[in-house]
Amino acid sequence: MAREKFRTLTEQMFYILLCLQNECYGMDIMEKVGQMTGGRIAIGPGTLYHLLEDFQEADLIRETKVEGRRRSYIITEEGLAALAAEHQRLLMQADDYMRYTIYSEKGARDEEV
Amino acid sequence: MKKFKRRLEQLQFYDYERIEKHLEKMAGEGWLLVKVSPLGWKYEATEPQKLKFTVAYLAEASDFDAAPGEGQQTFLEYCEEAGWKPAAQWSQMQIFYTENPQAVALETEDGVRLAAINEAMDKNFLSGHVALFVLCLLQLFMQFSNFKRDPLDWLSSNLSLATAMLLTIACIITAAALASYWVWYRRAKAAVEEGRPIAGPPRFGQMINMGSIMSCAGRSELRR
Repeated sequence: MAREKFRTLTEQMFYILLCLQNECYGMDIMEKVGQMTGGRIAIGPGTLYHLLEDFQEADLIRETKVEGRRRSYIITEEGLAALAAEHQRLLMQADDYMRYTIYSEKGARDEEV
Repeated sequence: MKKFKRRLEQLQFYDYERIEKHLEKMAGEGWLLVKVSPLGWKYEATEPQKLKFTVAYLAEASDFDAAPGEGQQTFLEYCEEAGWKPAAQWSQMQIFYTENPQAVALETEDGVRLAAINEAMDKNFLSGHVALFVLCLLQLFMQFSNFKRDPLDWLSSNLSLATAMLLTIACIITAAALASYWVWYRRAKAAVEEGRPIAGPPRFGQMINMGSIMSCAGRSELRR
């Protein structure tokens, strides 16, 4: 999967990268993401395996150590940039919501103008 | 009572939903899948139980590996950690089951699942089917040349007639199997882009399952 594919991150991609700001074992990511989101986001083991492979291929994360078959990963500069870009995109989306939703004050003001 | 039974299943490689439902039904009837081989799907007699099955695809897995590779081992460990037990493997397809109905699904993102299926199909099914289709066409062309050279001789030979008929059927079935996958993949890709769930293969694809069996046999011949 090319880096192009990660221009927009899905929720699961976003949380895996967020989790990997600290070095983490692949297997522990499922549990950590569950804790971070209060169980709202569940990452399946198959999806996690494929995404870790794809992230590595796109240089968004790198392997830090291998203990037996336990592999740990950490986010790279490119990964941090992808995460920041996604955060920016979400902020813009939230901002647009605040500006245009009919229930927001700002939205109502814009409507009057 | 029999301890094991084998069945030739009419299931398409990428029709994961139908495979899961079928295996759950079999487990409910007291038959647990233990092996998938060219001789059929082998089931072991157990107590009827309510199990949840799931099918995942791993392109790097192969029937020809003596033991699971490093990546496949890691994949299996992730799945076991999440409570899924391996049941059987069919080329790149990995079949798991669990007794826990609340277990996290193995694949939680359709886009990732679709990419994995396509990669597995590319490695296994598509190359075999395309090779079989080309070989059948070549053979048909040779039969046609023989017919043109001496029509009477060709028409009086039972072997020539039977060969031409079988090759034509094989060509149609293989082309239909490829078309079915192509249609399904395009629809699935559109569904993923629009955030809809992936639907099963088109009906005509399910009708040509026998084609898959024939081409599997052809493919294993090619690989020898």
